[in-house]
Amino acid sequence: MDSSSKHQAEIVQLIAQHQSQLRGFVRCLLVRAEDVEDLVQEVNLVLWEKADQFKLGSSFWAWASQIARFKVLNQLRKYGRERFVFDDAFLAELADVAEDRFAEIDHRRGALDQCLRQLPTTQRRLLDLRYFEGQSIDQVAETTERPAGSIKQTLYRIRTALRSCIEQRIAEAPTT
Amino acid sequence: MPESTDREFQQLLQQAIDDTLSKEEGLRLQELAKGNRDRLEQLVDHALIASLLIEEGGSESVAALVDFVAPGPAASATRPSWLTASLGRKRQIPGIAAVAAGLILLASLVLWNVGIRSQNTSIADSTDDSVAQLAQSIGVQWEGDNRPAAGASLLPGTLKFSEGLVQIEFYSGAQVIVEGPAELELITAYRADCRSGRIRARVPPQARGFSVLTPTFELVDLGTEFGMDVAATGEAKVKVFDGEVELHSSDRKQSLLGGQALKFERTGESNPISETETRYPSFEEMKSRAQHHASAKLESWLRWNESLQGDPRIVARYDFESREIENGAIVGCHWADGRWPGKGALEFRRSGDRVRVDVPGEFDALTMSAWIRLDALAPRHQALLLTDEYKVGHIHWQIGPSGDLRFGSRIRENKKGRTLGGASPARLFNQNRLGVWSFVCTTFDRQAGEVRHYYNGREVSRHQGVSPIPLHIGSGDIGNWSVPLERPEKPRPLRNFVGRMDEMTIWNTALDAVEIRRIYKNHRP
Repeated sequence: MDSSSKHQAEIVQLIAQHQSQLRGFVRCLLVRAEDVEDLVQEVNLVLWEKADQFKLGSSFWAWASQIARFKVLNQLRKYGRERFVFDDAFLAELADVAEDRFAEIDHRRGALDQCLRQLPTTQRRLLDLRYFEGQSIDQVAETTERPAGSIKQTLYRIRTALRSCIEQRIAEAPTT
Repeated sequence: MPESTDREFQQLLQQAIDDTLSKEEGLRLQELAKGNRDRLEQLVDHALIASLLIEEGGSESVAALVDFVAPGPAASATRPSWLTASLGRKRQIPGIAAVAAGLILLASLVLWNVGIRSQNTSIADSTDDSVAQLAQSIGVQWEGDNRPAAGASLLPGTLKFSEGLVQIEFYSGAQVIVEGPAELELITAYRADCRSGRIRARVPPQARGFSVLTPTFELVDLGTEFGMDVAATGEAKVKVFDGEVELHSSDRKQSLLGGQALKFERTGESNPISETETRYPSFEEMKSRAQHHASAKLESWLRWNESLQGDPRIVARYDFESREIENGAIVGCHWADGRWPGKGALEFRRSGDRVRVDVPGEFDALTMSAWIRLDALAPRHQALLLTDEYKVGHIHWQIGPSGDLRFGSRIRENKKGRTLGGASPARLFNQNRLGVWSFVCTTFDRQAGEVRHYYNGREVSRHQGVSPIPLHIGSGDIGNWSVPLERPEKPRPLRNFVGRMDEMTIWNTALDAVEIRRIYKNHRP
């Protein structure tokens, strides 16, 4: 294999490895769930087209998240006002925060794993229905025989609890 | 900040994460959060947590995961390895379950750009260490662990066989035939060590400098065709048919020209010999033996194929011998040679290539078998046989992104409902097996509650699980995935198979290991 195809193969590998991170980043820009995959697809294409600009050995995420940020903003603009309600300045603010968060994503993920354990069973069950089985709020409501409003509220509370748990763990964790 | 706007913000944040924000609400959310770092962080964190849960959720249920360990001080102190393993698997090859269409498009781009034909494109391997390909092997009795199939990439290492003929194409361009008994170590694309065996090599100008070590001397080629006969004792003969070679031994360097031959003694002493004394394998002989071997195999396969007609266990069979196929329609694809010249096969290359099939019936037991030549690995699924819909009882039989063989049938009607079946160990298909004909087979037995995968006649994994209803196929694709007629919804992620297929059979019974092994042994190329 010559060095350029090797480079390409490695880039593909890196892109593949960062799919969930890219999706997470896109979700943090509050795009509609149905648009996430399309946007990630667009980002993948740009990453691939610009592959020769990436130096192997440097931080892939630093490079990719910058590209993702601009591509997503560009792409959202094309969607028109019905689906794209936020302005560039606001999205840039969100992207700044998201970039901060993703800089320590492994810590956050690790902390989340820990925090999930501390949840009561009923709450874990809700997370399962909503995120693992991919049910809509209404479906979860039906399954659990609870009002949709209460499900929404509980999920929000669980996320808030997880959030402070994660923050606490990150604050306590020795910096590496 | 007034409490009421805080509450309003929280309400809108909830809706944003639940994806129920109207345009007006979105604008209000923006108004409330813009320039407010605390609220921006809340927004991002909630989205991030939801996203992590969705991504992790793809591999394991949160409830199941957490319940797996007894909670205690020890459990919360450090992250246990099982958690890293189960969650980490998802992370290493993320999003497999829902790989974005973009990545797939990307993958296909890469496959085309990097060049499928070179067979160097491996997604699973980021480097290619192979130095040659095994172009052909005829009647080879391998010895040792390295037993490559025809078409395989060859890594540096030793090939040892007691009889038979192999043709090796070094990446330098040198073509070498070796006749057994032989022991040959491939060192680089330009260098091999022959401990014993009879060799014939054709070295084009691009491969000048190709060298072969023997126990007594080293041959350096200067662009030529030559033969060698090396005995394990160290005695050897060299004959140059055309061009020139240099022979380096401990005490001297000599040149040998077209038509000349030399014999080396064990001691390293060399003398010219008559050039007709030894018979070296020839490319013509290799070719004719290969043809003979292939036509014998093809004949035996044709007889077997005939014998399957009327076999009540066969629900559908695609032998790709004729362009008109029963129970199906070929869309795109190219006709190509199969395992042997003259055996028909379909070549799947473009993303639209597929065979539309319609297989009626309900099955308490099922076997799917196919001879395939996978030509590329991709970080996505490659379809063998996929039903259009994926509802309870439907089947998805495919090659997974990590080179595994996988079978799934939905057992619950949920977006990410659990499935029956599973994936074989990864890297069943790896770089060295691209371009090589393989026999894949998967059986399902509802009563036994078991799915088994077989690769080249050997069982590679089994998966327990009970199907609530018999399995059914109905309309589906070989080598691709189609949108069902009733629901022409969003386009599907690409799942097209890249390679050739020369046979697929669906049986209404779970074939046993013995029969699967026999089919493989009798009809391997």
